[in-house]
Amino acid sequence: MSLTRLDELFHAARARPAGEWPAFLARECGGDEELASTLLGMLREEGQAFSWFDEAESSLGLFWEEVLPERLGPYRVLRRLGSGGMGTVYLAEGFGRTLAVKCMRWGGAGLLKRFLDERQILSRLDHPGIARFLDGGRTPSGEPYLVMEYIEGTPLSEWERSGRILAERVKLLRAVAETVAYAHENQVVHGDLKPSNVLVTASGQPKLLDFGIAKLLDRGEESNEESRSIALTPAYAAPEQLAGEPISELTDVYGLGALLAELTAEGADPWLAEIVQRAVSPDVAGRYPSVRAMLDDLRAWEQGRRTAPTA
Amino acid sequence: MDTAPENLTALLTAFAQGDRGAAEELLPVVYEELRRIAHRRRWQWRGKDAPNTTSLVHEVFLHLSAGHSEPWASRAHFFYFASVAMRNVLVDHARHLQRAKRGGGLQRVELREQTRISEQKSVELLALDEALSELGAREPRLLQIVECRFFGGLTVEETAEALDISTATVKRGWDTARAWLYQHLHGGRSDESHPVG
Repeated sequence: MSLTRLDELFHAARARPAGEWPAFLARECGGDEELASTLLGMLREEGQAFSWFDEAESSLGLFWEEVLPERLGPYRVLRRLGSGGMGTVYLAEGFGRTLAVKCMRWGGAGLLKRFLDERQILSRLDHPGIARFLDGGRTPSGEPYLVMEYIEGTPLSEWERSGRILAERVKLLRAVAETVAYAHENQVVHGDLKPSNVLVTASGQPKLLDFGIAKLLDRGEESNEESRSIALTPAYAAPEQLAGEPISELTDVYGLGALLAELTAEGADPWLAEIVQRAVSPDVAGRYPSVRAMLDDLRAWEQGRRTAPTA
Repeated sequence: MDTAPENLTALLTAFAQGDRGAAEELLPVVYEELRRIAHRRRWQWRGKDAPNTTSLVHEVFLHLSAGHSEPWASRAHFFYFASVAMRNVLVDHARHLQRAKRGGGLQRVELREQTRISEQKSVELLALDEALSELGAREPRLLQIVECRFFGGLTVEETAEALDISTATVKRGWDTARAWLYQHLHGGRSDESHPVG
């Protein structure tokens, strides 16, 4: 049985002497000259086609060698932890420790720059709320990777589902905000605050992950907003980010507001709702001027000082 | 991710019935296994020997189905899926090499001999992949045969089983597909391939 007309005609012609092919095809293809021409080529160059495939097949081996690296530098890969917009994170071991190794997603120069930026950004941050940067390198084929502290924790989205009281939720968000404020003091904007980028450890410490689209404020860098927007999650991205404009500390204020909104069910507390409203103002001028200012209001809420948000 | 064989069987069945979502769930599982097994076998691939993709696929299958008392109903489906997974993995890698080269991102890095060779090959592989997609749009069955035979390293018999067609159909289709793909990639270079009539 033939699968298709192409298949049928090819084999029907093939069963005939080569001299009859042109006439046979002209008749059978019913005026479809392109089809006739393709078929004639297929018949005449069949031998070349088969040897080309034999050679191509054997070259696949070269790919397998690289596709499946066993080690990343001195680190032995154990398993894949997850993949994000920017890269894949593996669980690895090296120097007697279990670590997280992040590899850049296959991409061009823009992504490579972002990846190298992340390495530089992480190396200047040292805070209990941020996965510690340990090492960076390149594989023999040139792919960059970065090694971080491996954090065992629960993603924020999961953590919040297990019956947390409001005060506990606000305390956690405040700890995240403290970490973000620390980053800002070190001229780093995270730019991608969302539940899946926060892990809560067994001791209740939130850890901020994925500085993949973070930005260094003190460097007169050329705009790289385009590659920055590749990995964005629209539900948590600030309006200026979605518009492809440069990100700033106020972008993180927005992200913290979105996280707070998610953590504190809507309408549960009018005072918290006001803090959320002020943080997620679409217009940057309407937002808290800094994470510290937002923190002041969060602390005031925790201490029961229910005054109006600071102007 | 739930990688229990029961779940895999369900996913493979869904995939065979055309559920693309199942493919997305399956791919990481199969890829992980391919990677793990390929690591162990790397030393066998030195020199000119290509890795034996057939044995890779078989080993991945055995591992994933290990400890599962009931034989998989979808062994054949798995072989087809693994072939598609191989195509994805290899084409992604080739694309990566090309992008990195174009973007200049990796230019200054000293490349191994091995990498240089496969960089040339990656151009060919990407062209083949494109032609294959075109073939698949017109002749989906021929595409599947190429995926099984070329990327999955399946035998004619295994391909027939995986796609539920006769071995004779596989043989014919494999010839047609190779001839068509070659025409698409390199055809018309000699005087003989001028249009007829």
